Amino acid sequence: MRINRLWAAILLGIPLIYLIVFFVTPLGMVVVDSFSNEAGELTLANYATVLGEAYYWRVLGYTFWIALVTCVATLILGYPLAYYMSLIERRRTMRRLCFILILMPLFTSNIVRSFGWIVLLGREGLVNETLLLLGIVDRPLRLLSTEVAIIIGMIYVMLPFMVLAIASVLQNMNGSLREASRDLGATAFATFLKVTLPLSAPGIVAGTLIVFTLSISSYVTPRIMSGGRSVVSSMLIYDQFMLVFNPFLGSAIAVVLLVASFALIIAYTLLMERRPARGTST
Amino acid sequence: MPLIAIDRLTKSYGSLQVLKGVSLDIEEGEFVALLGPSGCGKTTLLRAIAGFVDIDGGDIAIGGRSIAGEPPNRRPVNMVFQNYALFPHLTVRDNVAFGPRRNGVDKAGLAAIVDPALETVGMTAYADRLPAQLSGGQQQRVALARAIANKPKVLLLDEPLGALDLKLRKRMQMELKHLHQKLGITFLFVTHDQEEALVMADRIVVMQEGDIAQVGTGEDIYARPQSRYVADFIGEANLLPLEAGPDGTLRIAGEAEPLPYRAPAGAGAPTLLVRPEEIRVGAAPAGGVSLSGTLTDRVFIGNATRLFVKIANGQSVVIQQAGAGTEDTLPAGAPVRIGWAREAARVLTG
Amino acid sequence: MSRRLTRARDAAGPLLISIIAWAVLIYLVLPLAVVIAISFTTTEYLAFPPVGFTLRWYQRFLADPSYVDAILLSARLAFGSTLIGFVLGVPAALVLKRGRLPGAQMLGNLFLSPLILPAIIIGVGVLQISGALGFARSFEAMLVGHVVIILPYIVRTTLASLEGFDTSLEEAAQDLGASGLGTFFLVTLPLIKPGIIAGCLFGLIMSWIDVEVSIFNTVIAQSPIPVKVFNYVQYSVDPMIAAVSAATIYIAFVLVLLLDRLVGLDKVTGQQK
Repeated sequence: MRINRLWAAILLGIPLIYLIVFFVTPLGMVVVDSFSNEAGELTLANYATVLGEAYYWRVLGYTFWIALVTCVATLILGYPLAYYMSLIERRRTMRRLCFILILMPLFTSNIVRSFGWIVLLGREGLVNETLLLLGIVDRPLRLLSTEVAIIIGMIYVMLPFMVLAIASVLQNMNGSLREASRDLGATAFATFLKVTLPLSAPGIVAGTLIVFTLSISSYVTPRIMSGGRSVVSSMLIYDQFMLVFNPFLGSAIAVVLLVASFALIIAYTLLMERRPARGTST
Repeated sequence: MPLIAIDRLTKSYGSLQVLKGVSLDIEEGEFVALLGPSGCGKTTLLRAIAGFVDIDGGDIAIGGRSIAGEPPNRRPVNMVFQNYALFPHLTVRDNVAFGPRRNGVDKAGLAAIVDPALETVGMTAYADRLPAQLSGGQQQRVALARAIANKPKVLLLDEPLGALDLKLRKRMQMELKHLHQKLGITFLFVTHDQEEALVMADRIVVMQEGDIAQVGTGEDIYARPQSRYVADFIGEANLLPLEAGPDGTLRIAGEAEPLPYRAPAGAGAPTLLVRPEEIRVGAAPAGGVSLSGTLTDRVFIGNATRLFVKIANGQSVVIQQAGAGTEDTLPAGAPVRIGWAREAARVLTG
Repeated sequence: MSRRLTRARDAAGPLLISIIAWAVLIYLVLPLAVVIAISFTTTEYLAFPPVGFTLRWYQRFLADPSYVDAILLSARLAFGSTLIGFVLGVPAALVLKRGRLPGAQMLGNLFLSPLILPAIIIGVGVLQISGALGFARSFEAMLVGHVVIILPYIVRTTLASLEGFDTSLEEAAQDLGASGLGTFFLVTLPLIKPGIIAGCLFGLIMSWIDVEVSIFNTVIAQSPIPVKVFNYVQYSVDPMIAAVSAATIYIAFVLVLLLDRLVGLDKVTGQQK
């Protein structure tokens, strides 16, 4: 099908204008605001505050720390599940059940999901009850509003993304490669280590990128799980805009968060691309 | 007036010239094969006729009317695609009815077109199936029925048998031939398989690097190729480089005996073409050509035996004898005389 | 190593993996199951396991017009933004893939970029632009923001379904007499429909569950249901809010089934964020 130039201009032009007006321009406004003050003058004061005060650095560092922990944890938990789904490729009903169980949380609002954890992690919640029952602790732990709660909640929210990213790569992997490895004398474990794992690297990279990006900008889950204390950057942004009414400082925090996360993502992508060619090891 | 008149057609993709001024006339009711290796421009030519390739220069006329500027849907031609291109979301019947519907045929008229078309290709029983439920051969038949349902002036076929296995391909070749006779539509057929072209086509157009190398009947092209390229592409050929003496005599490189041939007027270096089945073991009949060599291999291929003989210049000459080749019992490595009748070989200069 | 030991180890691997996998799956459904369970408790406070069984909390929230309004608002937002996303995204993807435009790749990236940008920053941005244009904190502002976040889903799935598209099918349609527009509606659209449906369903869901964009662009009196729940849960939790939350889980379940039915869950896995 060919599309003539006039129609192409109209069909692409309208969505493009929409994006420019409601996506590109707003971002530009945020950037401009970050260099402005209430009097409408250009200033670097906002950045001086954000980059000059230890508090903001601490929050930014904590934001990235949470994202990193979430990333690693979802990878460790998500990979076996994704791998399991590639093992049961022929059992359609089972696979479908897995997909439903993974998509259900994904299709539920973060707030509802976090709510579930409030119940589970409460003083008399299921987690404490179980720990007491097993004799691991002798009185209920304070779990809510702790770092543990934030991380549990974050892992929970991000896990489906990681599983799906890895599963989509594993499911497209040529099964005869694994058979060839076994045929050539490798054990199941060696096959996994030398064939499956290296070939699923694109899924791991994609999954960690998604989880990391979403984690650093996550707002709802840390807000609920931290019990309202402002611990991550997105919460500072919200506070500045909606509570302190200082959109200029809020914009500066947003820009710093954005630039820092882009820098990390680019560094990570470059690192992954520059890895030495595989297959040369033993 | 020819049905299709292609006049100095040119087409380039960037710096690559895929059609270099192709001219070709096709008469009504002909079965013409465009034959050549991949990249020779045969598919581009076919797609230019169908309207999927915007030509750079030249003209295509059907029935005396230029169609060069027409979009594909207004051209009186229909195509059988290489991978059939059956609409996967439509049943066999709806696939076949697709064309007539676009031409505004009403419901009653549709049955009168679709049913006979399916009948013709023997797919009536499968009318309500989806393409995915059919075998390759069945899909091929549906693609044919769909293309003829529009009653095109020309049926274009782009390597339609390429995806079929050998047995089915041979059967479909004959079926296509019969279908052509029955319908009386002009068929223009693209293939890289010389046997397919020989079996089906009334006329073969051998293409070479965006140009036509030779046009003729199968016999014509096999027996009287005008160039090494054509000789090599159609059938199997022993091509022996020749040396021209100052007196105009020709010798096979490495042989002392002059040949009973004269170099025809032509610029290129002369080459001698001898088909493997024309060569016999032993001395040539009177006036023919005889050579000495060493038998290197003997291969039995069922209906024939093939001998490989190394001649003085080191070249390997292939000889094909019908049957089990009982005429001789020479072992490999033995010296052997081979020869052919004078008229069995041909000097090529192209 | 003996053969028997090797065998045993080979079998132990998959067993271990399935145990971990199911543990993770249970981890994934547990919070949802808990929310659903406590929504039926007869107690006035959150009790898990629930005490007794009652639909009282559902009745209570359905009788509260502010919740019903919030759900209706969310539904209007989701369907409205998906419809706009569809109208904008599908043609854009078509032109990007087929228009043979210079720079199509870069423009494509622009269309997908809202995916990797923090939603909270998009929310802030929409607040700024809607303020400048005079419709700050309104349904329209949220709608505009939701379109921005769901457009990438629709563009991407449409692009993906055009990626593997056999163009000879379109040529065949034209060869048989269909016009350009006819070819699109008779052949192209039916064949890329699953991808478009998947993209739209994802868009619908992303709008339905959004908090980050909405929260900057709404007022308390007019909040979509996730924002309403969010504002509530921050200060107190009770069985009624569990019932509200459970209701959104049922809707998610229906949408998952719908996606499975219309497109097939296997096919959508490669197409998330």
